[in-house]
Amino acid sequence: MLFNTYQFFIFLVVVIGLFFALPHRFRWILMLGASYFYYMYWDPRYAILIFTTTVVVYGTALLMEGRAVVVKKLLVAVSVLINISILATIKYFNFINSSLKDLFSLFGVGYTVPSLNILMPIGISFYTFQALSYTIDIYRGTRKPERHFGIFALYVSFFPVLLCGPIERSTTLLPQFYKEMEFDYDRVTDGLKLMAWGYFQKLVVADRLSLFISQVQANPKAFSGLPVLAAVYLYPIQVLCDFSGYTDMAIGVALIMGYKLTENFRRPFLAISLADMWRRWHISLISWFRDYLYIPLGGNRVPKWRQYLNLMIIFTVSGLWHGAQWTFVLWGSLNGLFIIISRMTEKPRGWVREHIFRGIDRVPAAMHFVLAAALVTAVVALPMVGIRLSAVGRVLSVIGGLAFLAAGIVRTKGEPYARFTAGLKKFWMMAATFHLFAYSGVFFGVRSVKDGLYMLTHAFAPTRNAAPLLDDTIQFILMIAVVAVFMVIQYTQEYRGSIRALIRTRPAWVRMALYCLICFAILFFGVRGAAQFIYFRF
Amino acid sequence: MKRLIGKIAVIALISATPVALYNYFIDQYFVLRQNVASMRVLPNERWVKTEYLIKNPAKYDSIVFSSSRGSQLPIEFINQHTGGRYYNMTLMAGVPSDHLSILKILVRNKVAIKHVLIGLDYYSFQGATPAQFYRGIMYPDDPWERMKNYFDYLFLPFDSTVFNELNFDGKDVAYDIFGTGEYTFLKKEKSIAEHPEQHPARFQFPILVVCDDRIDKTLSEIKQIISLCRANGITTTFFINPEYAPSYLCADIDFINKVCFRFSEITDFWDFNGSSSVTGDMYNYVDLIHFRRPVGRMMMARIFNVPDVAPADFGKLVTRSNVAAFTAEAKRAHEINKKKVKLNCAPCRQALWK
Repeated sequence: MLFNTYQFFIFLVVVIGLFFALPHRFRWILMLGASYFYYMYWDPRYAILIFTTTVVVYGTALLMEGRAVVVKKLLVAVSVLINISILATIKYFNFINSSLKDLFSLFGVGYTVPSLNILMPIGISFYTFQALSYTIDIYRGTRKPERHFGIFALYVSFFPVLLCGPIERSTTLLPQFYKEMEFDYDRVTDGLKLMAWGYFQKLVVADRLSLFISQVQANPKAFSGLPVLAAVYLYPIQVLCDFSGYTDMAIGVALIMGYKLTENFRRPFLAISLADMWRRWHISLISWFRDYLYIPLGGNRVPKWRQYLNLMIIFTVSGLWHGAQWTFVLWGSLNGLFIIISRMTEKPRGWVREHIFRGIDRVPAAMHFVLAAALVTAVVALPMVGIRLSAVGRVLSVIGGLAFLAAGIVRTKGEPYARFTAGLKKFWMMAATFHLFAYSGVFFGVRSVKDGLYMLTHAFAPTRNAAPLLDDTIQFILMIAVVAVFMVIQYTQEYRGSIRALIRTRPAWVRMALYCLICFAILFFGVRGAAQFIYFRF
Repeated sequence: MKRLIGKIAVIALISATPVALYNYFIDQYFVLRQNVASMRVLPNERWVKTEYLIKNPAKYDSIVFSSSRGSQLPIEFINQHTGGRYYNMTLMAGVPSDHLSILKILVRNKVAIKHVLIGLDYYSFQGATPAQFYRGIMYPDDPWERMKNYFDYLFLPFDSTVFNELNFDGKDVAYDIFGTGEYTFLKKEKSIAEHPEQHPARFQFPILVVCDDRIDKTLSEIKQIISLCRANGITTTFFINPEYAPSYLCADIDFINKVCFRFSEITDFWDFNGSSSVTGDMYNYVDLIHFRRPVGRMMMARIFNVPDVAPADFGKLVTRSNVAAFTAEAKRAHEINKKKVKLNCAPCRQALWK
């Protein structure tokens, strides 16, 4: 029962209807029943694992209360060990086993441990981490143990966040189950709007991009040049829209009923450094790693080399959390490495950047006009002396000329020019960050490290087999258009605040037109019967 | 709450109406309006043709079932030499499970059928009917199910393939869907006639081969077709469509022979495959998959015993008594011919639908 199916719509309408019809004291029963029904709809056997996690974490937390530190340590270790063991066996056994097999075969040694043919429940990484955060919070004394087993079971299995997060902390979500939620028109419509935006991101943007990208990722060696390059750059946008779309739907569903969930994405492609990017991407997971792994490892209070080591550990583990494949490990490690390098080079890079842009600040208007004239003249004059520019070269020269012309005009205005160069600097930093993220992200989407390396080494090779990208012109234009719409909305949110708040200030007919437009876009331009949510794999 | 429900209803109505109107007028799969003048791309033949026969139960008395290859079987020629009134039930990627489903629906709806001619491909023993696919939805006999599907077709999302696929508007392809049921590759035929030198370029692609085996399932479906026909007084003739010789040579001959052996245990059938003066000539094929109408005429001439149309080396009736000799000869010829021809075979892949 994916969020983008008719079955989920029916389920949601029934649950919300009953939720507001029932008195508060019975709502936890409804929500717990609905959450287990939702989870068991995929496979009834999933319930066994989530119930085991719930019982273990609930029991150890209660036992920890008022005990000596040693006993608490022992209990937290038991809880963590049991949960990690379940996760490791189910998710990582076959990965470790096949990696060992490869290693042994490299040395010609026979290895005959068979693979496990076991059930891999959807969302196990998410609810396990959510439950673990509770155990550690109890151990640290951040909160008191929850005594109501039903409410606690609801916290672990709360259906909007069960499969794909956000990974909610007990300190924020658990108390909300005790609050009596009234039907609030504004809040309910806010939740619906958020859901609609989530559907737009998933069905219109992510799934449309997936029509092309999945072809390249499934068989990268059939392509080179332009299609590979396009897949490299578009994939991060697909993943963001897929995951952020799901998160917005989840937050929207919870909001309708009055529960406020954690923000999981904050316009990551407008980040100006990789560290900034990771403060905006999958916030609930990264903050989990920060609070429960990075800080216990010493955080920023240890010598530089230890900080770097800790960062590497965090990002490698984060890669492994995403999937039991070397591609994910490599993806995580690359991000860790990039962050370490960016930290190590922060000062010299800043110095160079400042000097370059200070230099640009000082370029006189006349120089801009000269460059503009030179570029435009080159398009006309060079063919006269027998030098032929390619079509791309001509277009770039004209665009460059116009850009210098515009910059020259702005330069004559003084203050706006300073804002322009500041914007340029920010854009440069955002572009550099996005590139690093996109190139490491190649390993996130491919089946093997070899495929990832192929894509990286063939993105700038001569173009071969661009048909899936260019043959269907309408599909190509649609892809570009939906990405542009998405980026414009991201930009507006970053610099003008919540879109929902902005819409609220408009006249009723404008609001209505916008709602109809987004629903129409979902219905008409949404891709149906397409991919699952990418993060369901994790 | 009332205000909210009202608002949601208005938004749903305003945003869904243009989608419904678009689908109604474009009618990509030809299910909603079935207006021949506005046919754009290949219709959902499984739905439209079945519905058409149900609505015209006495117009025809016999049916030719086949995959898209069967589109080139000349109905008028068959009618002329058999005295029957045939309808060409050619279906995109049509396989026995489709033929069985359609036959069941037609029999249930009392459509008059005396004889069925069933064309198979070796692919029929490897792949299943297209699933989860708007062009593969079978005509639902149940009215409730039909309504549900109409609703789906009415609210289909925008699909740019309608502007990129082969046009069935009478320029690229002419589809006589409410007549003989066959279609003509107008543009390709014209191109072959006017620029025969460009034709070889259509055969420069690697030949795709499927490596699945669903012989048991397919034979069980064929058995069901035969018993359904017997129970309803319908006679049957089976044949296997002729593949372009290099495609046949790329396929696994042991699998082909296994199919022949098992198939002949159930019924006699005509096999038009193997290297012959017909299959070896690319000018007898529109593309790597589809043979041309003259080939269809030769096949029907061979089956219905019309003299002087088909060359002697084209088409053999395989029976239980001659299958051993037939397959032995097929294997020998396959091995010899494989060495003679420069083949461009792609590695075998899984069937799209299983």
